[in-house]
Amino acid sequence: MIAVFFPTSLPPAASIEYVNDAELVVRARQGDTAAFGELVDRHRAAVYRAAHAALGSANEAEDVAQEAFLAAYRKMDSYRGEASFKTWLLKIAWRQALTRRRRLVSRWRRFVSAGDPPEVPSAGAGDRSPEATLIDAELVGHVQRLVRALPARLRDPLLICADGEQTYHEIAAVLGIPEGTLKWRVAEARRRLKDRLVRLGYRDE
Amino acid sequence: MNKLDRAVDAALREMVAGDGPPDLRRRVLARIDEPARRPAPTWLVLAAAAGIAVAVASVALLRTTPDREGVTPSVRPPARVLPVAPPAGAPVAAASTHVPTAPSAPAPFRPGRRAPRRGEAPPLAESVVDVEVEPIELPPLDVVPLSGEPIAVTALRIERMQIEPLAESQR
Repeated sequence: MIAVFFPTSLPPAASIEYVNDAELVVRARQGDTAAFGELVDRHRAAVYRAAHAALGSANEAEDVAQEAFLAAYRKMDSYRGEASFKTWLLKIAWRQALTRRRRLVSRWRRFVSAGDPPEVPSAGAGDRSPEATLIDAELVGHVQRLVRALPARLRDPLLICADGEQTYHEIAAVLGIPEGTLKWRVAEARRRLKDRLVRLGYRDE
Repeated sequence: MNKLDRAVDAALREMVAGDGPPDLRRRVLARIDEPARRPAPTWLVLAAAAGIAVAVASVALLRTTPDREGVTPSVRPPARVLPVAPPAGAPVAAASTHVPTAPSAPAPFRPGRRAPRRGEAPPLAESVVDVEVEPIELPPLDVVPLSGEPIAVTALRIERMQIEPLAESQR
């Protein structure tokens, strides 16, 4: 007996890997959760890093990233396409992270005396990158402490730009400040850090 | 790039390192499929709104009470007490055109105006000085005298009673 295989009449499954964000947004609005899942995968790292920059804690950043994606899904109808989907998403994540940070700071203030600044959790020594190990573990530790001591208006732009994946234009839109202001704040933050490192005895070689 | 710049870059990258949880997609999609949280029931919202309204009204009433010490009295013209028309059939009192007024509240403090000293009569509010009140004229009442027929009262008569003494067996 000869088995004959006929091609099925089903259309080929449309791959969403090569579909752009705008098309995925359209599909997600129509209830296609797989399309939204693809958006989650594409922008997961950016959202997580923005939340991490604001909160300084991996656990809190994970929670905020999840909440941000959920909020984006529920507010999908309000996305008008004026900015890229990624920028719109990062704005939501940033606002949620700042709300969470305010709540954490007020909780800390209840337990910590008024004179002590709230200690933002830092990355552990085990997370040290090979690059940082090569430079100087002690120096990197100093820099991180100094970064945490910066005022939020300088610290936030510095950290969110450290990712290196977003343009100044995108980050300025996320933070809601002019691009020139953003650049000035990043430069000012770096200048202050280097000044303080020099005062600690490090040489700018 | 010098050593300090490299150190700053390395420290910053460490502080925002990570790609997020790999199962974020699954977690988000699981939450999307959850039924939406039910909003608070209407009666609860209404009860909360009513409670807030009562609290606000109470605070507003307390603040406008002029007799409290240390509180500036509210700006209100003195209330006028108007005479109440007597009910029909009642004896007519002397019609008076005098309109009594309630004791005037002390004038409110206004910036730029000198506050009245103790024992000094406070200035009347402008609204009181300017307003002319016409007297209320009451129409004369006609009292009709009572006219009733005389009542005849019959004298009460009591019949004489006879009491017989009890027999021996009934005692």
